[in-house]
Amino acid sequence: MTATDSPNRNLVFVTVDSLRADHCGFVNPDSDLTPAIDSLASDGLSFTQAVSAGPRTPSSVPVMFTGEFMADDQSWSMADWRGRQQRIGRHMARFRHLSERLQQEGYETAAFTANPWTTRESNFHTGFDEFVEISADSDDIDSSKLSDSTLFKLADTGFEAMPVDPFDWSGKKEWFSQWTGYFESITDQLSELSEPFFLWVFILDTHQPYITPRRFREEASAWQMYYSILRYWRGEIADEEIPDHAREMTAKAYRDAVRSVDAFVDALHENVAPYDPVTVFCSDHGEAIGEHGNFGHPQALYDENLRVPTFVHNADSTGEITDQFSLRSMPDLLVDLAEPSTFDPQSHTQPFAVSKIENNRKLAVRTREWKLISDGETKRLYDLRNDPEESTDVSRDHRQVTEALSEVLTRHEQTQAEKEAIGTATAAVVSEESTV
Amino acid sequence: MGDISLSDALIERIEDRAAHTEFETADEYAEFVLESVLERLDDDGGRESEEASPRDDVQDRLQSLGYLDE
Repeated sequence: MTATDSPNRNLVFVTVDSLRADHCGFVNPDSDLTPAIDSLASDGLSFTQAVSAGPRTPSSVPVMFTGEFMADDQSWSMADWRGRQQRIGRHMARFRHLSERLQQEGYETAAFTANPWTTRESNFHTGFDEFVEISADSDDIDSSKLSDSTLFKLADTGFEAMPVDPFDWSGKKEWFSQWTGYFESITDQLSELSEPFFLWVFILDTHQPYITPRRFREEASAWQMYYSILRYWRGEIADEEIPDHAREMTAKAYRDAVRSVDAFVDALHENVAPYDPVTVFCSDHGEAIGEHGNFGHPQALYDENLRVPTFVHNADSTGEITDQFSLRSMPDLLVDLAEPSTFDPQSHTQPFAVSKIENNRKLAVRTREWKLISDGETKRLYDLRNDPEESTDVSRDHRQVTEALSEVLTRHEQTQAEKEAIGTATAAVVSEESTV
Repeated sequence: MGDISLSDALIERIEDRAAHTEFETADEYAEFVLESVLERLDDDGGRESEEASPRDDVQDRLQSLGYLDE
């Protein structure tokens, strides 16, 4: 199919792992790390109050692809990675993906994903004509293209050949996932796609431990970057508190990683421009750099974990949307953008945005003004306008707000229970049908 | 968006079940149920069965990225 046969626009969907909203200038004018991202957001439509459905990839991206939260799993445990992966796989099998919907609209679909939760094993490939897993062990791509880092090349080939690998670098190849290594594979694929196409690219460059190519590093020297990595690694193993100097080095390394992401967006924009696509950009969740005592993306529901930069470029719509947008609405938004002339961005905003950790045992509801976080036993209310750091629980001072937001969470949980009941009944009926 | 007619009695039953949930209308509820059934029928359990063979190298990837830590 050619572009002239279809009224639908080409779509490029960029997802960046762990990119904080406040590190992007179009959300936070005090930040100057992302000139390319800011320029595209400024030319297009920016969502400056966008929030993810969860604080980590497994709690966010399955929802972002289906518009539905995952069902409870009473046997869930953090260590049972196979069980967690299978749960995502069941979720992705049960609900129609964003990519399946676009495929049905006549799109040729392609994905490049570097995150290990979005793989064939978790059924993310469904709906994609081309699906490329970017990892050192992937059959889809030469492992040398994961990164152009010298240390990665040693980890990929050198250390395995040596009698000892004291830092276990060969088991940490994901740390070196850098867009510069596989960018050419994306552009090669682009030239082979028929139109209209949907291209999803999910990059890992701002994921811990923030190893960034030298040409994008403006703040962290190589030793500072690797020191922060080792502090992170040691802190993870020993559960130690990270000292202030290491925190500052980590913040510098993270900011350099953000610069690298900005360069990726700039390069990708230049390469997709001839196809005149609508581009949608977001991160899958935020990242903590010491806030609330956290680093990275723990099972926490604070704004540093949930707020995400989001913009739409080249969709004949411009301006800033200041109402909340949940990434849960991403499938509907992208499908609507296939035909931008009828696109209404405001119809995708929500006064209440629900987010959850992966096992559903802690959840939050956010408005522009308030956030209620509940773990089933305790509830904490934060006044986001007067206390954006979410430092003080004001649930006792604002009981009506607490009750109203509690009602929203109750309604959400009742909805999830009803959806699970429908799913169980559907499975039983279809199973009975197939045996008849 | 097309129309499908349902009996008043069925609509009443749907509204009873949808009360106190985020389903705002009987239409929304009915669409969700039909989507669920059709997704199952069209899929015929095919993708569910694909979940069985996770690769061991994934554990290293998840471990190194901190996904197995609380």
